[in-house]
Amino acid sequence: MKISAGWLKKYTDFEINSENIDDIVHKLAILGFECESVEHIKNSFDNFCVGKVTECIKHPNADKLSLCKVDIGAETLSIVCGAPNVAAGQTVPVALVGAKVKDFVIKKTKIRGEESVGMICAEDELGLSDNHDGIMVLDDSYAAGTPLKELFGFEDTVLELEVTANRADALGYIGFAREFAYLTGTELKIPEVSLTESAEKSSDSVKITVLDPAACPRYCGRVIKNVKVQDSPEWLKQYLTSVGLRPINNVVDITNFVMLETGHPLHAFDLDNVAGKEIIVRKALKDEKFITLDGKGFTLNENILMICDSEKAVALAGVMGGLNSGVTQTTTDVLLEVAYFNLADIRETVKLTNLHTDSSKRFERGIDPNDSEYVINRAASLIRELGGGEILAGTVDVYPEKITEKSIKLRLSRTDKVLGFHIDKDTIISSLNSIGLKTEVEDSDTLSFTIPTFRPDITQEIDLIEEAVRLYGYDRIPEITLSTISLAPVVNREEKTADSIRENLRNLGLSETLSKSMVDGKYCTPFERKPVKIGHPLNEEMNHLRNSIVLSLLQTAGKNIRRKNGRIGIFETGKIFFYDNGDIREINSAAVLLTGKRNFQSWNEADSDYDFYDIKGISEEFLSCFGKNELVFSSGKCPSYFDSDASVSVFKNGSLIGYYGTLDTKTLEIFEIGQPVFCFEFDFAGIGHLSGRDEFRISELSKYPRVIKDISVLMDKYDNAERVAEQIRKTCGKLLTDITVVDIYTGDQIGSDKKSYTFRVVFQSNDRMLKDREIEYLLKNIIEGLKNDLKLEIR
Amino acid sequence: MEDFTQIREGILRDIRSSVSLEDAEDKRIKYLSKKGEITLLFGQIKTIAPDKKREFGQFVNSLRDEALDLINEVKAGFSDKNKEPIDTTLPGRKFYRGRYHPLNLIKDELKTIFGQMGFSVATGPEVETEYYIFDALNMPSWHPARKTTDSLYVDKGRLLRTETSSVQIRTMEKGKPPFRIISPGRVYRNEKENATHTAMFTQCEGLYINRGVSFAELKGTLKEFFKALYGKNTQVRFRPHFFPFTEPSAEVDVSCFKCGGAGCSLCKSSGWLELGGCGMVHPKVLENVGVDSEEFTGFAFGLGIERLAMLKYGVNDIRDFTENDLRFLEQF
Ligand SMILES: [Zn+2]
Repeated sequence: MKISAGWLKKYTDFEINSENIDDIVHKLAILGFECESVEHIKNSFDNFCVGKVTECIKHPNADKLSLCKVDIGAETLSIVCGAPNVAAGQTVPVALVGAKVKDFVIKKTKIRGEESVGMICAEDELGLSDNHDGIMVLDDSYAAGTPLKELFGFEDTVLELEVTANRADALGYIGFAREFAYLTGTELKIPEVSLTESAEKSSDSVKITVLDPAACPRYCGRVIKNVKVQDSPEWLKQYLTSVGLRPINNVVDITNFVMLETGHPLHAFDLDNVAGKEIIVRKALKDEKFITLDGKGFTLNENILMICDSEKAVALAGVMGGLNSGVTQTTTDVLLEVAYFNLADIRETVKLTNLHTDSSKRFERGIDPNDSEYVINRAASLIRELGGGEILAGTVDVYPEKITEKSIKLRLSRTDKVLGFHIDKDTIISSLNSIGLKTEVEDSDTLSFTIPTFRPDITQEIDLIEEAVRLYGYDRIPEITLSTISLAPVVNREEKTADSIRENLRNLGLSETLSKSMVDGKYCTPFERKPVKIGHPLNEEMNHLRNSIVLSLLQTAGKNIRRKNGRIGIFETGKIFFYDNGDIREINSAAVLLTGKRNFQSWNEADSDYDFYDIKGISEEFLSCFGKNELVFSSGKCPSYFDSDASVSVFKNGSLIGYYGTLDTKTLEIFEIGQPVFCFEFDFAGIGHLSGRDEFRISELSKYPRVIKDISVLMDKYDNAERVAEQIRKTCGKLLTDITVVDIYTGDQIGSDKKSYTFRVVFQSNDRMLKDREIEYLLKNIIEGLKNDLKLEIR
Repeated sequence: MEDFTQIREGILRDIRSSVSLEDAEDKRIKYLSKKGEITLLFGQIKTIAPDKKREFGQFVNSLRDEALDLINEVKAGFSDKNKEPIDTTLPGRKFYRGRYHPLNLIKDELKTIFGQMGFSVATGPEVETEYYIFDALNMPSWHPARKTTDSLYVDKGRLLRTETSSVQIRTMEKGKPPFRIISPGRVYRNEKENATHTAMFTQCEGLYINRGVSFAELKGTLKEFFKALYGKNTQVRFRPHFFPFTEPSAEVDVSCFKCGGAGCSLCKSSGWLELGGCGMVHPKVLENVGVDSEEFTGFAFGLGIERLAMLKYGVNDIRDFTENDLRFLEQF
């Protein structure tokens, strides 16, 4: 809502100036009207003055130009003018040499060989309107040489204020001024209306029938005959342009002016175009067609409230008029409409047509039904003032059921309780009175307030409490912290699990990512859960909800690879969404992704890429954070987006807890990734279940030395390490404390279908020093076991 | 000869007392350089009686040898000849630490501060029904948020939550007051994306319902919170606002942590940063979840985590948070 400081002072006695503006902006914010911008408008018309055209002849070298002599008081100038309407004897605005017109500066020049010193201006060139039909002709009473500043000069400050959705009353100058008067301690001044009516009655010229009084509780009509529709005077044009409205003609401008002034939208019809001189307010028929004045066509339904004449619809009630029903230069008889429509009905129209007009914006929020008389009379008297004509007697007022002021009780004790501090009773009464509420004291605790109908947002006690504290001043609210009851924190298991997962993965050197939940449906296809489509997506890149966290990680990996970020070690936790037997399910999920460089080359480090064993190592170390129970690994059985030959499922305590391995290249293609990617995906809920529940005791530290031995085993190329390790464990029992693979050899020496693994075994006892022959015996058993049971050769 | 013995012992004691390699070298210069004390003794031979000259010469010679040996011995004690030199200026071996996502950094900080103030974390579904997002929150049927042009509907009646307030409703439905929760989480709007708006962002809403909870306590609580976040001189300003689910309602401004309220580019020279909305829970909302609004009162507030992060780290484009460019993430 734009408020011109120049106009505001007509409704209060307070003047905003450059000294108090900052303070006012601050105080308005505290009162609930945040100022989004402050604009200073100034036009002092330097180097413009009034001129008299004393002579006007055709340009010898150009048909469309005229040579004019223009008297500007001190001298007479020669000016070449291109306007068709220029004529001798006119009084005109003249831009002198040095004046700035739009973006260029007027200079002495020659046009088609003829000297031209200055320019006769059209309205748009003076910034007074968009009109460029011809030069502007001024009243002859202005003397030649009068600075134009005296005619049109203005200076104003325009505040753009945010008005909250509940405050329709503040969308008019009077309503806003009521608040402003309270803020500045001044008096609200409502313009008085004096009406001169003719003997003829409005009710004889127009008939009004409201067929749907629920949707249109009140409809007022007034007729003004023999109006001269013409341009508005400068003050009115300026009033409208200062708040961004375009002047059209005096009648339309007055309806806009009165709407801005009172906050109550009104509409003017050309009575000659109202068929049957009858207004019928009804709901539209199903599939009824309507074209608005801006030429847009709509197909309506039975929820849309229409203003009609005896033949056709003429307006979408409260939103916009129809084509050819408005007031134009040829109009003589004007029908003014000031109505009150039901809020919900206007919203139906706005919803269907998506037309957000100055009018609908006010009706939607709720205006005052009971100021209609004032509004229509104010408009009628202004029309007579600026356009002449006769105001017919009386208003045709269809208002079958008067909307009355409600009364609401306020308990002072309740006010104290909600606010946590005390506002004095008299302060409450006087502040609420000053914004139009009337008080009756019921008892020592209870006040009864009569709520004016321009404040439909106040419907219950809490609304009064809010008004009381708003007027008291939000800046005066004390800051207290007195919570005496301490509540034991409730542990949120899911959140705790997520935090624990995040911490452990960060500790493994992985970085957190957070991706959009909304994704392109094509990325959902590799993942097994049935994705959820968004009915009304923002765009096609966000038409589904992600059905896997791996999906998000792959999107992130793809982007980073394309940006040449070489080392990608990331994880994400968050919700995934899918259909489960027709229901939408959402669960927390988490996964790790590695791709690209593990290390960049340095003087002591070779360049190396992530591989399968990185994801394996991370998975195992991560899972060890959640209890000491043995993990069981099983090759394969992973979802199809894993490479079935290079992926492993992990079981803990007998249940599947996750997968890790290399991703399938077909899946990577969907994400346009051409390099190996390794992922570890685990069951969030399963981890949560393990976390913190796995109690264990430390193992005793042996006092006796360890014995370390290496055994090299010649194996088939397709054989695996675990089979050998298992055999060794079985043979040695608990004297074996560790086993690992320390070297792998392949080469011609052993044949291309073979490989040699060197196992390092560690023996240690908790209760004795192991003797050499004990070790020799164990080694002998190991070797025999491998030879006999696994048919392997020892190197 | 007593003099000689004393001189000798004094010098050798001094050399032995060297505390470092450099110190021992200083001692060598002090005694054995061209103008060193022992070297100068050779010059004194002229002043010695002829019969003592020989003895004196022997004494100085042997003192010089002794001192030199001792200095070398002391020096050897300070340096280990087997040590390879270390070029301490070569780059260290690269270690990588896992990085926090900036939104999680802020979220964790909020969880910690509010946790210390007695708030528990509550979570809830992101795909919600209209009841939990609008009806229970006193959102009138005409409210623009209900339109498909403003919210992301999955199907009829189900949509991606526009506020985490739905979590508050679910929490209150399940239990009995008092309640003191925060509900950090993702929310969604049908909004064209640009540098300051995204269709998905992260909110942290709070709720406290109890006997005697007041608007003044809301202001006090938020002030304490922002002091913990931005420092003890932080001020909080309330401006009246309108939300269907709270009354009285306020927008919360916090004194600019960068300029302290004097005005700078961050706060667009106003001295204040708008950081959230809040208010007293509307009696209708309490009644909708079966809480007696006469006995219990409470407050609710909402903060935008992206906005807090953007201000704190100088992020100018909100879309950077979900871009996950590692060059961005590795700065945190
Ligand atoms: Zn600042």
